[in-house]
Amino acid sequence: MTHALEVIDVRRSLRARPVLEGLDLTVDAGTCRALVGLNGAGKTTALRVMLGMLHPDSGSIRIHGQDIGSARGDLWGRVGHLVEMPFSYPELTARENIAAAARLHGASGLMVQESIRDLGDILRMTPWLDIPAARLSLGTRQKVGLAAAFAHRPDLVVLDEPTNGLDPLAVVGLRELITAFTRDGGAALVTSHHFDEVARIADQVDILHRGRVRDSLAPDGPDLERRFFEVVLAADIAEGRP
Amino acid sequence: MNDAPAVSARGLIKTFGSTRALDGLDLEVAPGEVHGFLGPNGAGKSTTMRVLLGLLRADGGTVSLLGGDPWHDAVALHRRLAYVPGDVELWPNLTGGEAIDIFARLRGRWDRAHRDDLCERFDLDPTKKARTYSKGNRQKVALISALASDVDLLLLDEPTAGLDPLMEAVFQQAIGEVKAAGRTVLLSSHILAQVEALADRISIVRQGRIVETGSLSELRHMTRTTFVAETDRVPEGLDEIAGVHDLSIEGAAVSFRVDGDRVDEVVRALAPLGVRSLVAHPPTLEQLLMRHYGDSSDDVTGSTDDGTGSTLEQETAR
Amino acid sequence: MTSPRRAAYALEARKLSRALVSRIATVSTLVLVLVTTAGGYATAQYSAETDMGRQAAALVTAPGWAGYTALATTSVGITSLLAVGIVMAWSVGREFTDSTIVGLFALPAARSTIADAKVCAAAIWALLLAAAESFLVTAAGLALGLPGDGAARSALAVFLVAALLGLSALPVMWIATVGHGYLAGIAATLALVVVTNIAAGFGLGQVIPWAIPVLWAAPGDTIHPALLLAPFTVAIVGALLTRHAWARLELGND
Repeated sequence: MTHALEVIDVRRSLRARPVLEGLDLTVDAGTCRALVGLNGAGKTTALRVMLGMLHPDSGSIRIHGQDIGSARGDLWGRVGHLVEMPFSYPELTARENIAAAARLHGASGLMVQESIRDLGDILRMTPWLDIPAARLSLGTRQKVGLAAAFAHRPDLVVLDEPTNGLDPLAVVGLRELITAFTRDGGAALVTSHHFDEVARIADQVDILHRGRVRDSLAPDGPDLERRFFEVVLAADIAEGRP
Repeated sequence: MNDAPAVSARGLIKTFGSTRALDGLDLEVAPGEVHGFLGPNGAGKSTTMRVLLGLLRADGGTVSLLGGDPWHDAVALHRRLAYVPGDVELWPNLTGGEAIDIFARLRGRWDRAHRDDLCERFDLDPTKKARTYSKGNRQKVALISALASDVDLLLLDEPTAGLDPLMEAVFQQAIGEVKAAGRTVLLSSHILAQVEALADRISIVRQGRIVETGSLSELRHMTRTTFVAETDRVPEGLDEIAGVHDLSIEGAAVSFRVDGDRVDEVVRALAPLGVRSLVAHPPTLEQLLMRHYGDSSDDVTGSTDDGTGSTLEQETAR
Repeated sequence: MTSPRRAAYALEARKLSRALVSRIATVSTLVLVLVTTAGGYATAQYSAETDMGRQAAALVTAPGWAGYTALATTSVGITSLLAVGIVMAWSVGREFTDSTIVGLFALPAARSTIADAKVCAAAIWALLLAAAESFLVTAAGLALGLPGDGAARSALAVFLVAALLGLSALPVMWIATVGHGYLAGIAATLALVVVTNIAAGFGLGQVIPWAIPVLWAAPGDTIHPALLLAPFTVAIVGALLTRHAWARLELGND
């Protein structure tokens, strides 16, 4: 079976320091995978490489079986992302931002307007859709960015700390959104620092530490956070680090 | 230091075009307390912070900060307060340490040793240039400079956004120290566990107004504790106790919710039944908030939506 | 155009039209050019006895439309390059400074397409601005009593100068891309304006592409019109460099 997203032995150094050291990761259709790690573990770099924002020094990334380096642009029409900053130009309204993102991914007209309406409901931002993003709070702009990742009905989404700045009700909305998305066959990769959320959204949790995935945990079961720290500590001890 | 409130706002109004961001907001933060500031997205939290920082001028109402007017006395007040935003921008070519020093010097006295200690605890290398920092590290720079400064008031707006759980723990510890030193903290955050652990009192804002304010225990009195118990004898008579709600009995297992001020009565009613197991959770902050968050967009869109509300209750009751 | 490409062009056009930067640049350029040209000419004509009148008269180096056009193009020369350069630098630079650049990756439309869309939007705006400047200035000239004969030639000259100057600022978009921010682009714009004016002052205008349009429009022994190809070439080179830089763009690699 072809994985929706496959990261194969990716290595990348930045400023002469290795950041990704043989990163392997797969996400299958119909599942949500979480990637967790401490600050500095390499999450941002990993996401950038996966989305073609940074070339790996070695290794490859495949989306739906196609290497992203040689794939045609259309492939990206099936991918949605929210990484680092939500798609949110201050001079455009929330609706215009979401529609622009959707159209940039190849979605058209009616489908876009329907998507915006549905996403506005789920994420509870309908009252703010026609307000310029400059006047929206950080949390509401995050919602705009989330909608922008989903509006074109992708089958793979990559979300970096998606609940950043969201109030608890919106977090539930996002959870519902991701659950419905994977139920319809979508694949989701989510990074987070919040283990309780991760446990509720993800089917599998990969632990990233110093540029590699060290272990993969099932989120159900006791105390995910404790198990995370056990893995990280074991990895450090094995490498003889303080 | 007198007993005048560190922050006092009465009837604050702020409009942006057709949007009424603040609609008669009253807020009071006592000196030396950690005050949690909560509310749904778009409720007016950041706008309130900006008014307190003197970045925005309120269209109506009164506000005082550390005894002064935040708009007119901004320069003087900023030497006595520290602000950490949810999204930190730094000068790319300065190192983290230099950025921290600049912020701290703007506020007058500061402590080098304390700054170094915080850098270590937050695992931040202050010798690296700011443009090499991840979002989490930029956040740490702002946090450390605020915590290391000798100020009277800290205004924190989602201060731990992007920080991992280790850093969250360091942050909570550091706030404890700040509090012990007698400083006041206004903490706006969506991380309920954080607010629950740190705040002495909280204020909940919705649609530009404060809808609830008080200490966690005061607020708990207003809501219900959930009980799940297994008893030897079939529980009877529980439904007759005032304040018991949603009673459900399945064989020897019983679950119900009790008004905060009736808990003692209920425990005494359970004891003679031979309690085999008992789990009681006081309302979490999440449950307290859901009353206020749940209706917000219903008000605006004009529809009632009980469905979502009860799903949330089921979720949070866990 | 395929729909993602069309979406990119539409988005860049909308961003540019909504931006405060472009609105301010448009208004101030039009006002400045109009005031200095028409105002300067009027002062020279009707207040020749005053101090200001004498200074203004010194700038009007030929009678009729020739002198008026020279005044207009000098004014355009200073304002257009600056205004268009700033807007172009902003259009690219803000994506880095506001971190919105992440949204322009992982799209069906290649980044070179996004760059083309930005260049196109900025170039069209520069041309529209040039047309507006030309129209206003010529209308003002007619209102000040200049004859109908010669108005069209003047309008065309002003338009050509303004358009060429605006387009020749395109390399600034390349600088902003490479410098990952609009400060780099704005610094480049300022450098261009300063160097161009100093060189022109020393009579070296012919070797500076950005000085050529204004020199060409000056009355008297003008330079060969073929030299107008220089700023046009600079514009094309700027557009191509910008596209190339966007195609090779990476994030986090600095």
